[in-house]
Amino acid sequence: MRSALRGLGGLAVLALGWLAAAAGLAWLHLSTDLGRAALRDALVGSIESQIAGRAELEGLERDGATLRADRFAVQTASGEPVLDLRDVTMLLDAWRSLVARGLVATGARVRSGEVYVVTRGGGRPLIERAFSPPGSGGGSAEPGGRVLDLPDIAFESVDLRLAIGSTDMRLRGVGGRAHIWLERGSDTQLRFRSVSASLSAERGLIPDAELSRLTLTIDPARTVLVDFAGRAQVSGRDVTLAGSAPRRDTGTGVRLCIWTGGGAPLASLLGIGAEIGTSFTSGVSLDVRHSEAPRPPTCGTGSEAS
Amino acid sequence: MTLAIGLFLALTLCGASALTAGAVLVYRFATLEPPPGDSTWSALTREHRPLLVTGALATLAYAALWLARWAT
Repeated sequence: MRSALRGLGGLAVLALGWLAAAAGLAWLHLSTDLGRAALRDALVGSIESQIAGRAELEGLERDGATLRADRFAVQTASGEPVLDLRDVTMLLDAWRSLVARGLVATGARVRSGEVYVVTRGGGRPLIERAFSPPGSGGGSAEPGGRVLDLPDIAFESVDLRLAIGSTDMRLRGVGGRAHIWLERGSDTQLRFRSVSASLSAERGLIPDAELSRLTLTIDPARTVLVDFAGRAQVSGRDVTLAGSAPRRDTGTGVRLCIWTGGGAPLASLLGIGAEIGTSFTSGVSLDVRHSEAPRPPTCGTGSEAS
Repeated sequence: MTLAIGLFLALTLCGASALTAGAVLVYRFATLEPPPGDSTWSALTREHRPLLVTGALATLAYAALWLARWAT
């Protein structure tokens, strides 16, 4: 009996030692080319198993728990680009990622890139289709655990192309902070805490820009956070939008500021409206000022952000 | 599973097996008291032959996997 117990104890020690050795070696191997390739394949595979689109990850580096990629891109299943981000850094929460069998980060930053909110022949934007669950219409599957959770992702200068129906315009230098998460079997969800951007036209003038609908979430299953549904007539080379959306638990509402740029006056601003989602139903304010666009101003004071 | 993930897992498993077997053998070599007229090494090979074979095979597999990786 005693020898059997000793044998079992020895096996347990052996198993623990093997696990410790495997964990240590896996950590060491992650610093090699093979480890980076395996990590990239695992991340891409994990993301592609939850969305209908295809993901690409290039130039992945690891420094401790910090992951950095030269490029992260997502395309639709038919190969049309919807997201192309460059210089992406995230601080991985290794334990929560392991438990969730996904990607959980305590912080992330995107230096630059492009986002395409484009429709083809009506229907939902391609980005919404690409980020829907694979093999479904989107938003109908039962929710599960979060396989992707970036509670604080900072965008520094991302360009956004909006081509919905007859509208085709660009928001340049979109910056701000947001929360992005993806629940198993659900759509990718994006909540902005603050956002600023410069709205510009290719020919340097926006004679009658009709912003028929600008949605700042990718969340078709739930009420959108901010949904501009009005009509804006503006002139001037650049218009800077800045806004902030406090956390939903504060309930203090949303503040939105619009600045015109280059000294050109804002000729007219007609009927611009903001529909605020259920979480932000009070305290909405709209402010229009002049500034040196496209540098993002501070929403509260109108001065340039540092 | 991609080739990179497969190689990574195989390397980790083989490396962990080789390390664990090596650590146990070193410990046993240091603490083994061979019978009179017998050497420590022969006593070790006699008492822990499966572990020796496992460790040797795991080490060979680990080296072979790295060689295969570099060769490709």
